[in-house]
Amino acid sequence: MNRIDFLIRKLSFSLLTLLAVVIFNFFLFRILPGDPVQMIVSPRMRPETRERIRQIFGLDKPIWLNTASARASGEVQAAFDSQLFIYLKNLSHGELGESFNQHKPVVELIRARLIPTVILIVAGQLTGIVFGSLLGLLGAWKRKSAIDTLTLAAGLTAWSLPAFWLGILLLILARGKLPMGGFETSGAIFRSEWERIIDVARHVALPAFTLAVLLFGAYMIIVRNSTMEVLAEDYILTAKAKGLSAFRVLISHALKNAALPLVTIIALDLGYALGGTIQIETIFSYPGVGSLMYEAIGQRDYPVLQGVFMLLAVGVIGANFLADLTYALLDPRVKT
Amino acid sequence: MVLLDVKGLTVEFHTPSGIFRAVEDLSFNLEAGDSLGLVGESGCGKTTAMLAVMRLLPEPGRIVAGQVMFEGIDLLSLNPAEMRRYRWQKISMVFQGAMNALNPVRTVGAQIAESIALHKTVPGEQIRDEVSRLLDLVGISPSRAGQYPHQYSGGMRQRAMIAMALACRPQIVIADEPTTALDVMIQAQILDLLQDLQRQLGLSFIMVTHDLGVVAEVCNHVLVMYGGRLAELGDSDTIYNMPQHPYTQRLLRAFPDIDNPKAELSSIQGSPPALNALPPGCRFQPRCHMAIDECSKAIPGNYLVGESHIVSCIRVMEKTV
Amino acid sequence: MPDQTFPLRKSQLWRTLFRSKMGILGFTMLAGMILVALFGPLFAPYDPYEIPKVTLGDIYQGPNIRHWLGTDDTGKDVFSAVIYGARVSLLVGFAASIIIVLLGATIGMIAGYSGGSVDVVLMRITDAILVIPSLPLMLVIIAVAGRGLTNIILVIGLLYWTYMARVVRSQVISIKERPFILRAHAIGVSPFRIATYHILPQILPVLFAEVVLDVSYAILSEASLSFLGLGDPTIISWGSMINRAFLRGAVTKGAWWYIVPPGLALAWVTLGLTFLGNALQEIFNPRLRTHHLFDEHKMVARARLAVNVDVSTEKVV
Repeated sequence: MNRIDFLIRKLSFSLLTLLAVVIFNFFLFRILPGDPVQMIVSPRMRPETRERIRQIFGLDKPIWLNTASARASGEVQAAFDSQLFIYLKNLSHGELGESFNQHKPVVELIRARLIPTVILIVAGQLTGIVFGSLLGLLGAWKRKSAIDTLTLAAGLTAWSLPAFWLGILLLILARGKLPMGGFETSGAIFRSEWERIIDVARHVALPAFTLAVLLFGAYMIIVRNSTMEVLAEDYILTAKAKGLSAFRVLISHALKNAALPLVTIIALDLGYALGGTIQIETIFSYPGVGSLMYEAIGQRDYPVLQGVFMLLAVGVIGANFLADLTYALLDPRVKT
Repeated sequence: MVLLDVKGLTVEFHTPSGIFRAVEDLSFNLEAGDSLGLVGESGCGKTTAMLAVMRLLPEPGRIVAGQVMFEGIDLLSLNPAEMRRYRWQKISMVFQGAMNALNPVRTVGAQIAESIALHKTVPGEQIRDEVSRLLDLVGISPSRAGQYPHQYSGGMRQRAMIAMALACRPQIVIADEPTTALDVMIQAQILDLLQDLQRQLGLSFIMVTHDLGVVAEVCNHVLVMYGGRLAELGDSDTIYNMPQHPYTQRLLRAFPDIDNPKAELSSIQGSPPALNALPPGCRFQPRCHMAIDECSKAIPGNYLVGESHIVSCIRVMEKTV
Repeated sequence: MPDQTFPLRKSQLWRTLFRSKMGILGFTMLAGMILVALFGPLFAPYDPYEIPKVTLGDIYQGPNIRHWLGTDDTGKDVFSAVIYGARVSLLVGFAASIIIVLLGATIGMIAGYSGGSVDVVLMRITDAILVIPSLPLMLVIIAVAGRGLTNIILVIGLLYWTYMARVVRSQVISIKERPFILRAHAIGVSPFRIATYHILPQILPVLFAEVVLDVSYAILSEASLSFLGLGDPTIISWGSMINRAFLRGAVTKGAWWYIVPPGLALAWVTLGLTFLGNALQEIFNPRLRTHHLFDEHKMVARARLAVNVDVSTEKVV
């Protein structure tokens, strides 16, 4: 398989999906019963804001195509003076509208809360991947033994737990030992950068652990299945015949082959991880984009909902493409 | 000098659907410099027996009886760590279908080097040269050591496997269907290579195959298996010219004879026995053209007919009577 | 080594299922919850939809004789609410699964059977939906379209059919090259008939194993949506119970009886479905039963399995 062809195919898929998401987002908030405009402009906004938004998004213009304007002026490009294309143009400039409740541009709100979420996801994923993979490998190796049954049961159980329930339980259990929420102890003065990092770490620990438990089940099962398939391959027999110990065979031969699917799964599971993150941030009052979305739900803050959703979708699509890129680099069978 | 002495080897597979006895009471020995051909139809237990010798059976396999004496030590009595030292260094194996026998994500050179480094047959700095030497030995350009298995042709992969099998200078090489799935030209090349190597390096080997033609060319002893048991064992001349076991006779008749190209090829009716429901008597009895009543009552013993010619059939006794 | 041949006969299926401890456990757990959903409300001590007349002391009671799992912030019995909640979760699960099966299996079959550009297009669409994060997508749709059980069921069904489609497609692809299908083609049986009469029965086992897992995803999704405030406001579901608990300060009050039981019930039914689904997958789509890296101590079993093999000695003839 040609590497360049492979990447081009994946790139065009990602771009098409992105386009579909963008148009879907546009569609969702405009073609609905009642006045669609109320999804973008709200009576809660100040009059100047309302007027400005109307201008920016061209809310008095036709939704899909401006055929009337095109016919009048005789120019084709006038047809693109419609809400859809204005929306696309705005999007490319990072204009996501303004929040109904916080009187700030959506982009600003997102930017302020992006880093905590990134830290949470990275910490949670790393922990989940490491533990999930190790236990999955172990379970596949010691198949049908007590260890295997135990890890499998643990993994399946973790996989079946509702994220929010797990979070609340941990919250109750950790009372007094770890901070109950937030990202940093507010109003605290730190003597050094290191102390600040420790403080953040203490706040991130519980949410990240919850996420890790949630993800660990999925990774464990996948690594276990993939390893089981690998261990039935002929080259494992060859490795063993050469006199390598079981441990060596696992590390030098099985691991890389079994880990290849992991790369793609990490990206695919990101969507699932984001769903969990929303719930976790809500429970731990963790100031990330997940809890931002939750607040927006409660307040019917449609621009924020739209904006965060776009961000998450773009993130996952991008991550998937990166995963495909990494896979192409790692697997020597996909070569030029 | 006897290198390998296998006595009464019995292997079973314990699956949820029942116990399958793949090998029963197999005994033979291999002397230094010998080349033994292990023949039989698919499923007769020849590969399983060889895997058992190296203790490489897949999951539900169990060695339930027998001894594998190598230079006086019973390999089956060693603990796993000790056994690992014997593997590859004393006995190595070239596997069937080398297509997948090499790890696709590691270079060929690295995989050969791995065995050398593991058994420390050569000091560290010289490993690279040794790998080149081995590749050269089997007719692969040493510059290809850094390539991946999928970049090799089928025949090259098989040759690379042979090079790898020789990496630690073993005393015995077991080749499991080394030429199956290769086209005839490559087959010939591989066989020539094996014979060359045997001459050059003084190897002893066991060639597992269902192809009698290959055995005739390369081996000086032949062991015929049927239904997991030994049917006949002897040197090539005897087996080819004076086969005594009915199965061997039919097997030879099923192969085209270059001296008699117009002779009709006969096939053996029926099918091999189910390994989880073995008949009480001789395994071949249901398909045997020489079967008599006694055959289905008890398993025939191993009868020594002439010098080092063993036949597992009660009817050989009549010949001498 | 001999392999098991498929398809399994029905009798073999039950036997293998019961040999799998995970399968039995999952089945029992699920059956238990189904019974609760069907008959629980008949035996529940209170009707959780009734507004009780309460005094201040009745709020957030801990578990006691009158209320086995205590009361919530309005004095309602938690135990009864948990029982009634079973109906909601299972209803959503099974209703959504109908959509998932109908939509997913059809698309999967069409894609797998047609192959070529039809397959490519259908799979690209499926993949596109799979890439988009599901919970956020469901969130925005419900937020805009309105809260309600029907909406939730629809949204779940319209998103999760993709899992079923993939599974069905790969099964169809592996089946359509089988001799008996090719023969039917050659005789001139119409593709539609081949698909429904010949292929469909073959994929039913795998389809069933997958739908069990999909039901668990549906139940968890409804719970998550309810927890985040997008559940049906007129219905008491486990997710909405935990949502109320969280918003009404049950955590600070330490009212664990309001939080733990609904979540436990959720975990119970999801776990049961997961165990059952995995056990079924193992049976219908078995992992290879062999591997090369197993314990050598088991391999050499001469002493343990003391088998009577007469090592024949050679008799000279």
